[in-house]
Amino acid sequence: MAIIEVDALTKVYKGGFRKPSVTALKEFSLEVEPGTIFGLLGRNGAGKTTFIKLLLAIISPTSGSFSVFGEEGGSVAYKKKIGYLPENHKFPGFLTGSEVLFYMAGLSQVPSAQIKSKITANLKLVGLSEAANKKVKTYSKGMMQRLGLAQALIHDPEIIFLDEPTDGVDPIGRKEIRDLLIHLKEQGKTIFLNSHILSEVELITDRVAIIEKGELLKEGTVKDLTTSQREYKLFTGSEVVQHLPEALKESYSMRVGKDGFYYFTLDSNAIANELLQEVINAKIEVKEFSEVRHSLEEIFIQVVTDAEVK
Amino acid sequence: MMAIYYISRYTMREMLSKKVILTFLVISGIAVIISGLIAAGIDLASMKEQHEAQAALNPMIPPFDARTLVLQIQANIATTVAALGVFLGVFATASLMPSFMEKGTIDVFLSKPVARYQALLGRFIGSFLMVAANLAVMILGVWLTFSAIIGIWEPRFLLSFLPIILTFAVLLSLTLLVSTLSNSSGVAIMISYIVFLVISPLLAIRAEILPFLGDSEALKWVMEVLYHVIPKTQELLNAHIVNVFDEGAAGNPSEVIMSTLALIFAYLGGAIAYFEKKDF
Ligand SMILES: Nc1ncnc2c1ncn2[C@@H]1O[C@H](COP(=O)(O)OP(=O)(O)O)[C@@H](O)[C@H]1O
Ligand SMILES: [Mg+2]
Repeated sequence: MAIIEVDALTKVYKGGFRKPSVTALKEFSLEVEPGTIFGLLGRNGAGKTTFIKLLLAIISPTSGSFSVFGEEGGSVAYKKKIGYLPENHKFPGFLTGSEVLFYMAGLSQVPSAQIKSKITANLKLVGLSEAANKKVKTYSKGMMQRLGLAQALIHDPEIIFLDEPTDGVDPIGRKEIRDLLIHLKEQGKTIFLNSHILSEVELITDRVAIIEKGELLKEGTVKDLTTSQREYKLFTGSEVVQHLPEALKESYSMRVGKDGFYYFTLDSNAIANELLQEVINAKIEVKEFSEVRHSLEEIFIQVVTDAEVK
Repeated sequence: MMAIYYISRYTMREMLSKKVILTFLVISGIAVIISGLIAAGIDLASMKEQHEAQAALNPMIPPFDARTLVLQIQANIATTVAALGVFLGVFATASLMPSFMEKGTIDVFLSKPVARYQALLGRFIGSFLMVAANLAVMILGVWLTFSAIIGIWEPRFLLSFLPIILTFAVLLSLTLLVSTLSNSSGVAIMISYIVFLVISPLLAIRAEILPFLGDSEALKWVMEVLYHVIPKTQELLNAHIVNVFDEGAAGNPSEVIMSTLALIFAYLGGAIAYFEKKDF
């Protein structure tokens, strides 16, 4: 059973004087399975943050419904089992890192006897132990992001929502955050993250959804999305065209890429095998034959521009 | 309930870290020094001599009563302390809701298992306790210094804490309501000060000023409504400080006190109703 179920969620930000209404989310439906890392991808202003805020009842939907842990959306009760890292979060500058965690732990209903040890453990987890007693206003952007993660995890939640978790973090810090997320997934946590940094998402997510102008454009596993529909590429030691069987010509189209590869778009996987067989039978040396995979970024740009054309 | 505890504790911590509470303490210190100077400037012995010299000429003059004199002076000091304390209190608390509702801050708090009404009540309770503690320190300091120097210990002065704290509480709930609705501490400070300095004093004497405004029924009705929905800070302070020092002079205080408590609930209720529905 899905741990998050969203059904036709719509959010219109009401306009006002000289301010038009904005439809930030349109009939948006989604399901997230427990124990997975789910990435919601979209450009700035696509509606990602709006989506998370709806699930956390920070804003209320215009229409549609959702449930988390099977409980109807918007109740205070399920927030005990949720951690959230907002984008551009601001923790009070007058508190130290461990003071922030103290209040957040208390509000997250961590029993007071455990608060101290949770603070120490979580500061260590995100690598902030040394800055624990420094005022938050002296923290760098990357340190703030780590503190944000620590407060999101302080009560050992089952679902963790992360809005642009690697924003402003240096490459090593980003790798550490990715490793942490994978570690959390191994513990059985469900992670939902918003991002526009696709190369990173590609590395850790199980499923992704692409959102543009509040609408869901595509959804699936990273592998499904990045594996093109029956496009194969072939690299050989010599010319192949004259060896290709006439009988198969109906079933593929071919072009020669700038990289010297032959690109085939085929009707089915079986034909790919037949094709390869023919090439080998013709004693052509095959150096590489593989299904074409695009980067998530390529797919993303394609999906979004296709949607724009329509 | 733990949520309210943590939010109020956080609120007090926030206020402590702001310079405004420090300013409050410094001004309290000045108030203590001034009341000490006033006490030192009063020469009860020579006043008594003068009084007795006059009484010798006019048998109608009652005998010298140092205690009544001290109470009168204390009543004036209490009124000043009250105005000062309420002014500072409103100033110190007006930014609490706007700062809480800032983007990036409110998101974190609302993602916790905290009902919105609990968050708002935590803000109210924390700021109320913080200002109440400051007011208590100020009043106690003024009283100790004044009494020690003048040599007469009149504990009734300490009772003025009650009308002062009630006045602050009703202005605080008005400030919270206005700052939540407008998301602006400036607007909240302005409205609270205008109520405190202008509207409440005018409404307290509405019977006297009506004839100058044409005495129309409609106007009378409007004023009556305003009188019931706007904090009666003037009556609370003046009448009740007089009441503390001269029992019975201001009539029955319970009516004003009850209506003030009702207004506190109404303002907080309004703020909560709005806060519960707001999108952040
Ligand atoms: N409080 C708000 N009032 C009005 N419009 C908003 C508000 N918040 C977001 N929007 C608009 O809704 C759209 C989606 O925003 P957002 O969810 O923040 O996108 P993302 O997180 O994908 O960058 C944008 O056009 C944004 O301008
Ligand atoms: Mg966003």
